[in-house]
Amino acid sequence: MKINRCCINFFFFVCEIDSFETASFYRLNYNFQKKIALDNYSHIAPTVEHLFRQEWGKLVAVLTKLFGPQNLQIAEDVVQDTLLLAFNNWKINGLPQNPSAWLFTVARNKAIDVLRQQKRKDVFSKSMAPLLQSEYTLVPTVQDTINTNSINDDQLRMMFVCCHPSISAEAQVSLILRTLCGFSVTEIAKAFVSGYDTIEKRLSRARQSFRENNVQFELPPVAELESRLDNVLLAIYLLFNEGYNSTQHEDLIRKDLMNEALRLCEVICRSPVVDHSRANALMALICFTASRNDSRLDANGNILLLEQQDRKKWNLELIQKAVHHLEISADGKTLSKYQLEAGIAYEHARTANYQQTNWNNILRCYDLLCKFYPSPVVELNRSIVISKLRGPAEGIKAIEAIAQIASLKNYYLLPATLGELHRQLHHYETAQQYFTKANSFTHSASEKKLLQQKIDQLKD
Amino acid sequence: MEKFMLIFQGQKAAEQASAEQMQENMGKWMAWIDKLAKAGKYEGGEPLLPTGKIIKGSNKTVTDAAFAEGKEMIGGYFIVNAADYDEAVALCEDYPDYAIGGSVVIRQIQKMEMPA
Repeated sequence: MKINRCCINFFFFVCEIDSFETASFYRLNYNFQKKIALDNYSHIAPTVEHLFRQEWGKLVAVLTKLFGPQNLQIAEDVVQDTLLLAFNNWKINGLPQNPSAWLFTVARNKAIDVLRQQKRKDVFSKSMAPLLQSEYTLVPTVQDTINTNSINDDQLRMMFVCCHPSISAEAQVSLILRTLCGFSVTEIAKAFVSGYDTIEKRLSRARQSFRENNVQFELPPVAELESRLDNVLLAIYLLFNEGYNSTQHEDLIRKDLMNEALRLCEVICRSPVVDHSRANALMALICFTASRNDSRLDANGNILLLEQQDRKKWNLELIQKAVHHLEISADGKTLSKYQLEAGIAYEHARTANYQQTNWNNILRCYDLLCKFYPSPVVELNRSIVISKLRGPAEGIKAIEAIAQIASLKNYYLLPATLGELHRQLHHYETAQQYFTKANSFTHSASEKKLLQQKIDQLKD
Repeated sequence: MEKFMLIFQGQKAAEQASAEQMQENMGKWMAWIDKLAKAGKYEGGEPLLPTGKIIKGSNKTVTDAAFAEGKEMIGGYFIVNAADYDEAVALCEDYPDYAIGGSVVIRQIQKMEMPA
């Protein structure tokens, strides 16, 4: 959809983020562990955090390019062998000068072994098979393929492979975690609070689907690129949400999921071939949301609502990054869902405290969301903004007017919101009924605790 | 000061390790070596590949040995300085692989001294 650029210019008012102090330093993937200084071990370089995971992702991408997505399992096995060899060596000898180059050399040799053992070259990718037929072209082809020259592009292609339409949305996210992020099946199961067998089945079905659908290691044709990019961005968005929203698992894995979503989104933002606007808008949304990560729980793990959060704990570095990406996303041609959601987050980020929130600007974003990307959840959130501007009674009216309210019947935030608005109107009995209902809809311990607190406060 | 060889056996569990677990375990090994080196106890060490050859008999028959099988697989060795076995055992306190089926064999290296 076309939209006038001035429409979104309000996002870029004077940026007031100077008023925040630099909060705890959220280091993303560029975190370097303390340099291990050994007297006679000077060749040990600083270890990049998640080095193995990141190299796993790169290696799987280039090996899938060589073997074809139908042989994903072979690619994964070669990478596991390569990393294992590196691990056994490095743990005693220390890291080499260039760990990545070391790994790519080992992977190249292992790939050549695999190709020599496989007599039927037609099992490999269509474009590669002729080159792998003769020993004359095999080695140069492998050398040409297994390197870091086009690693960004290769990882992007891998994302499109993982988000092939023949694969379900949840399998897409699992597959991204396995192939591009180097998570083990156990780690993915933990991330989704699911069983090992469920994830293993999901992954093997996806690998099978690559064979059956003859999926190629290529970017989708131009006509499909836009819609296929939506799939990829959605998978990254889900990956991030899994990390941010789940209150069910430990902090460590949640941060890993958020960081991986950030890293992959950055890969897309850097790519010259796909639409920058949506990828940058998603990047902005992820950064804004992640910037509040350290402030949303108190010392006892209780949820702190936006109103109660200490904004000094919001991560300035991530906010700046978000603003930067939001600016790039404003190409004046499209207004994506991510852009509008990031716009809402921006309004909160640029406001020094909750009381000064510019609800009018936020309502404008919600109005646009309702117009172009309508959903009952968006309408519910919009009702809250209405209640801020025009009072709780108007908020309740807006909720009652939600078009497909029936689809929210098991969504705990619907009764929770109604409870809160009735509380503000001093309808304590009705409020209590709603809070109790909301409590029965959620399984999260911290959400239950928050709702119980609300109920207890009603009695005072 | 005596020299001891620390022989590391049975790290088969590493084969199933995830990328992150490998990195975490590698960090522990590096920290252990760092600690030994700073205390002047570390002389050196090498990892060993799981393949090898065995030559035996008067015919000097050469066979492939698959060291990858079984608990006795040797993954690598260190040479360390220690006053006696007690200290050598104490130096192995931080060996990272006890919990994943690894073990350490300690052998004292015989000195080349002329008998008095």
